[in-house]
Amino acid sequence: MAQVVLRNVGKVYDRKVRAVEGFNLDIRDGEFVVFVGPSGCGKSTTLRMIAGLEDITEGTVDIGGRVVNHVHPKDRDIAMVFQNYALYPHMTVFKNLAFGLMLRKMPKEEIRRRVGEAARLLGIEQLLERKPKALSGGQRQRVALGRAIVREPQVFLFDEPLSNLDAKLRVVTRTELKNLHQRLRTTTIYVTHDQEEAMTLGDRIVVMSNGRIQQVDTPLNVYRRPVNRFVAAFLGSPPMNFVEGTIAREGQRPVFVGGDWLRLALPADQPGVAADLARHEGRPLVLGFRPNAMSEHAAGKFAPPGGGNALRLATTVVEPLGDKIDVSCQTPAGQRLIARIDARDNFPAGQTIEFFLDPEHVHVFEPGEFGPNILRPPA
Amino acid sequence: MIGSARKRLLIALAFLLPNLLGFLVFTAGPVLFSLAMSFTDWALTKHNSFSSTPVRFVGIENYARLLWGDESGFFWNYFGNTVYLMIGIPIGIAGSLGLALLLNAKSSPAGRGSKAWGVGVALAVTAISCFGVWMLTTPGPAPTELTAVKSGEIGLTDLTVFQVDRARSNAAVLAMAVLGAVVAGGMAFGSAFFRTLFYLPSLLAGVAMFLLWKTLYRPRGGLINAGLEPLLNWITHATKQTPEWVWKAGAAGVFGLVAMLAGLTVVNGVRNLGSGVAGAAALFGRVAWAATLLAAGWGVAIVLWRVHGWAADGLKPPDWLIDPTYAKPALIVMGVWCGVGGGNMLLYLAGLSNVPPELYEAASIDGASGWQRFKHVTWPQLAPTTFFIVIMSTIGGLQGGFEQAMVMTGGAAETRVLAFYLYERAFKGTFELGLASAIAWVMFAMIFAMTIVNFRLGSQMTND
Repeated sequence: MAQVVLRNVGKVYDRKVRAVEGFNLDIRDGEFVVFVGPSGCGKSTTLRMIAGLEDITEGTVDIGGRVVNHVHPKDRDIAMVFQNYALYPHMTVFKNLAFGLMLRKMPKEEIRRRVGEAARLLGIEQLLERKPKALSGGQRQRVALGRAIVREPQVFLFDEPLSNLDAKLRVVTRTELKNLHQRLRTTTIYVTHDQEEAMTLGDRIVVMSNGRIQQVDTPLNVYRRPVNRFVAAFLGSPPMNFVEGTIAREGQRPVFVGGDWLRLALPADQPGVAADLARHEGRPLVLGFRPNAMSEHAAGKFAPPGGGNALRLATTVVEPLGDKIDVSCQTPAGQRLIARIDARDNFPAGQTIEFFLDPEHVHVFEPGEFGPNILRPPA
Repeated sequence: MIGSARKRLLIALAFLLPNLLGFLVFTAGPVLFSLAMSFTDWALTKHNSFSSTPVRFVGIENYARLLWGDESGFFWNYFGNTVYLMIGIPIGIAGSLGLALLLNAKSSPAGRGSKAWGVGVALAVTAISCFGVWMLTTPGPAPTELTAVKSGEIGLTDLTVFQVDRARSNAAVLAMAVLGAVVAGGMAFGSAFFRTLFYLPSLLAGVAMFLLWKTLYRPRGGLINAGLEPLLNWITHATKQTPEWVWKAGAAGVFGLVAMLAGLTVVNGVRNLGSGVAGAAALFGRVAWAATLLAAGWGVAIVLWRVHGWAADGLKPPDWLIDPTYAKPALIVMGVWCGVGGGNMLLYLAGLSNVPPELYEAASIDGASGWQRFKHVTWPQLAPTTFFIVIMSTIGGLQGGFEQAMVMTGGAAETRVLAFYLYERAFKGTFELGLASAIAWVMFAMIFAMTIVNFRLGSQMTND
């Protein structure tokens, strides 16, 4: 068990291509941290620097109170699970699990005990004499996991371990992984590009883009209070809707104005936020709201006291999901929005319908891909 | 689909016909005909336009003559030569693998600036070294015709001392320059340069290469012996300075050390004897390894034991292609040199680039050293490549050797291989086409059997 501390970590390839910049993170002992971001954001590179598979160009990586920048991977007391599992094809499952222990000259009895224990934990005892090519994808994934577990390392490193599994197995294994972590309590760093995986697995998630950390927080905090438009757009499915406009004032209340079809009264009860909004009056801004912050009924939270939260949209496509439906709509300005609303039969496609927004769950961003959140910044 | 199945078959056959026809007329036909010939006494000295003796069917007589009859002495001797020369195959394969590993190794990325620097320094060092070597070795001013002294060296008697010295000096400068060019080229173009360089012998015609090596192997004035002579002279000198018992003690020491290592290997193997076939195979591998070690140690020890005696008469470099003892090793060395950077190296390079890098990373995290990564990742991953190379090389080795024997030694007995034997019986002397065909079919049978054995062993190895 160990904490992992990254200080100003940076990676530059061939003296010109920058992959990671100014990465600062304190991972607590036993914590499950997920690095998430689009491909090429530097999440895997960071993980590989922690593993020792890439040189660290700048900054320091500290595992269990020891700076490991120049420590060989085998001496960092880590274990890694690779996307394609990287099982040794000519070795049996038993040997795959035992290999690292054998190289460390562990007594045979101890090896047998540890492999047996891990195999039992993962339910692969009956596979120990098989070769990897005689295993299914899910079984290989377990063996790869087992190879990490038998080492009893201080830190687990996972590099997209579920992305080679089919959708159903992925969800099942995800739950098992979380269960496993709750039993072993080993510090875990997990890399994925799948925001759902990140949300479900992480104690905290680290959202990255272009080699930089955008936000570090618990999944729900990141979801509720995204630091900027990038994070807001990256997390959540279907993604957040964005509408361009400006802030105007109606009496004492700030109002978001999007063309001539949207006038949304913003909640500005917190004094700091009100002042912030006032400062941005008249400037171009972006309103963001998740699909589930829309409804076709003005009731409950969709009926704020002052009203002024309606928007008329032309529906184009209706996708039923079961208890919910996703409705693709078009604004009068031709922009596409998605609403996720309670399912009902015969929802009309190709008509103009009035939707209502939940003003407590809208965000206002400054323009640009990384425009900061000014209505609901992280606490 | 157009037309009936039969019509489509006919169309397909029509397209295949040109190739099929060629195969039937130029390959399958002659092959079957030679099989028929091998059962006859067909010889051009007996059956030609001046004689009316009919070709007689003699049954297996040709085969009997080869395997245990009047020709068996030649046959088994040349078969032995063929197998002896095949010693070069494992050496060559190991060399190809080594070169491929070197070429595949990631070189640290150097910026363009530092690369130019490196090349510049290498060229400068080369130029200075060449000049230095030239200064040290070049003879004084050329003597006039009257003062010129004949060298009197064996093989060089008609040259003057000045001419011999100048040739040696030029060779030394040239060697220096080539070395420098290789280093600079490698720095400038990286592994692509070496890949091209190593492959070059495969691009040049075999016979041209053999003629080049024939020149190198010349006992007097050949580059190899020119290099060996000063070295051997120095060894002779050094040997005479030390008492004989030092050498004999060294020999005993080397052999003792090797014997101890071999013994430990076997003892460890027995102690860790695993169960079943895998355990037995591992032990067998250890015993084979120990035996190899012991043989190598024995060789070194013998040389050390005797070197003092040899040095008493002065050590002389061998007459490579002429001396029966050294002719075959000389051919093996040449064969390895010609083949080591060729197709096998390319196959290994391709095989290496197919090894998933994650396997190395996983092994690295598991704590495998460089050698262990090779043993547990690279070697098993290359097993199919090695399997293919071994099969192709074995076939090539059993078939080959004709050009070397013909060009290098003019067919001296100790370098004759089965292919040369076939040529000699068919196209020289008595022109015994029937016997020669039998040789060809015996060779085929051996190659076929060898390949089946290889397949059996290999599929066990590669399927794991």
